[in-house]
Amino acid sequence: MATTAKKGKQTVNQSEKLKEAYIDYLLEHGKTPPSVYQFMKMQKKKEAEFYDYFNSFISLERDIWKGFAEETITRIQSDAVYMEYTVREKLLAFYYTMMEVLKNNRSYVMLRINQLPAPGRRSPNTEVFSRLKEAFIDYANELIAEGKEIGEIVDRPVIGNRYDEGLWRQLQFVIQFWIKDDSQNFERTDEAIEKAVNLSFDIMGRGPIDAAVDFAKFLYQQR
Amino acid sequence: MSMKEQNKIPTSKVQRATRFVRTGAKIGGNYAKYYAKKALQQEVSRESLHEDNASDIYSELSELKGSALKVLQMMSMDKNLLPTAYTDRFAMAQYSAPPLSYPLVVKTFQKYFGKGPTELYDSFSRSAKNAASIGQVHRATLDGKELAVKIQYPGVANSITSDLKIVKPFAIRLFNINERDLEHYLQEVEGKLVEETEYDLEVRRGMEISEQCGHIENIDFPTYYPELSSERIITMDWLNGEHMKEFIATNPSQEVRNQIGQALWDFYNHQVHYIKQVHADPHPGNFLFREDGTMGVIDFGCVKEIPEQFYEQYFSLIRQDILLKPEQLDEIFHDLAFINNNDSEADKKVFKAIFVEMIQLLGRPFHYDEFDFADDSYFTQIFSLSERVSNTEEVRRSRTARGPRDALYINRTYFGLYNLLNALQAKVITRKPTWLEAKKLSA
Repeated sequence: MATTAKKGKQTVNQSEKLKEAYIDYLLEHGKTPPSVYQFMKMQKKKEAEFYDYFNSFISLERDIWKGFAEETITRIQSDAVYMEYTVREKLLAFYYTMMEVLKNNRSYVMLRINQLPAPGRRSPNTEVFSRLKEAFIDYANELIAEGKEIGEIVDRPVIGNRYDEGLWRQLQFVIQFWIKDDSQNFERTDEAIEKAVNLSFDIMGRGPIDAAVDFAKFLYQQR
Repeated sequence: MSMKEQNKIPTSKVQRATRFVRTGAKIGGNYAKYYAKKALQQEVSRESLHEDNASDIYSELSELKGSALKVLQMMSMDKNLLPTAYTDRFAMAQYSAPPLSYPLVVKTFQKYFGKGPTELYDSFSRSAKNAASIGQVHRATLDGKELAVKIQYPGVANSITSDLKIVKPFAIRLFNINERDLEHYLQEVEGKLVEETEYDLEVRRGMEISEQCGHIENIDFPTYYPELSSERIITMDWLNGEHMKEFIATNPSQEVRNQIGQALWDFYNHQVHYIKQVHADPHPGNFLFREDGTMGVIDFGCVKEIPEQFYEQYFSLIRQDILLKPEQLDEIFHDLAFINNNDSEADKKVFKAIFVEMIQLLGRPFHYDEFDFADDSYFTQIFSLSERVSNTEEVRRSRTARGPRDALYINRTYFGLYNLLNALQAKVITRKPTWLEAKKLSA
């Protein structure tokens, strides 16, 4: 038991180390390492070791981005108050914390952010955000399910199943806003997050449209 | 504060800008109307144009909150010396921001203390208890003490400069003032507004002033906790009491009113004349009143430091006898830029007469040992004078700003104080330094 635990821990450390070394290289040279072989040689390691964790640089980068989401979720859940939050507040906490996490890697984020596909475009095979997206969509769906259960979010036909996509767009918006933000302490981003989340929850929550539809339905049934 | 109310207020810079543009377009329209009528040889007075403009600008601006409004409010006070019908409509310029979400509150604490509010305090209210002018107030407890924790809205400091830029062209037209003179005032206003966003400064000043005013009877101040405060967060004692309107509604006795009025007068008297640093934001939201005839002062965001030279000149005008010595008066008027070398002799005469009359009137409480602020006729006189002044041909034509910029906040302070005392219907002993008492005009 003890040995497996130790091994598990080592695996995490090793893959984290590789990620860090990779980001270092990327930022210092402004481009990806020419080959896995050269990259591992610089780490004084065998090439084969790399494939224990990742099968390519792209998959390593995808893992980096997924790691940002995972770290964010771990951090917010470690706060006892988090469980008492409304869904709206949980999402806010996620964004605020994620921006803190990204702050430690801002240069790397800036280097990659222009790869985010424009809305409606199919993402290229080389894009590095796919696992971040998976992790975030999973998290968003948990929030949405909770919101629907307690009535903070209204389930609607057709678009009711697309809320998660909407929130993913929102996360992209927040990251892009933050990258362009030149205010002190990124205060503008704080404002942007508050307003964006308020808007999205006003849309997902019960609103005038629901009342209008409900009323129209009622009138129709009277005939 | 309901969300619905807030939804109506334009908040983003873009929205604010479009609102100004709309106002601008309307004013343009009014000018077009004026010239069109003129072209048709109709008898149109500039007067009606001014009225059209003023009402359009004011109706637009009353929907706008934020520093832009505050500036216009200040400017309108100064140009007419005192606000007239508009004071009610703009009574309180508040920043409009929807309440901060709790996660953002937590984030702000994390940023400055590395800890969340629940770790710093024994208890901390999840929702805001009050809206402060540029932030919100949460209630907390620590070691058995009741605390008020004020947290600033993000981005307030950033929006001030851009708001002022937006407001400039409108202020120039609205107050018929030239750009250089306006700049001169705006610097003062901008400086003060920016200071208001520096919470660490507010804590320092609050501590200083409350210590130096601690001896004044029937007025108290919260204890500040600098170790639990930062640029954007202030922790202080929670004070009990009611705001002016609610307090008056409880129908306090005349004795209680006078006692509180006296405390207010003494508080300002001490600050202006002895500390030379004054809490320059005497709007009703910054005070809490209690039925036992005591009151509390919260919010030291806006403090005006009074330069020595300005102090001597400005307050020597209040002395009743100075108005009798023309040479001395001319000199002071010149120094304080009430009149300048570009004025024609005739203009100088008009302006001097106006300022003498104003000062006489505004200084009146200082001329007596005791003054009854319940006397509404005094306030009516002030209003009708400023009404008359703003309609004087020479004043309207003049494009120069008159008066020292340090006076901006001093006038505001005294006008606010008089208004508070009037609302209290208090009769107070108008204590003042002996040099101001001068010789009585009883002869």
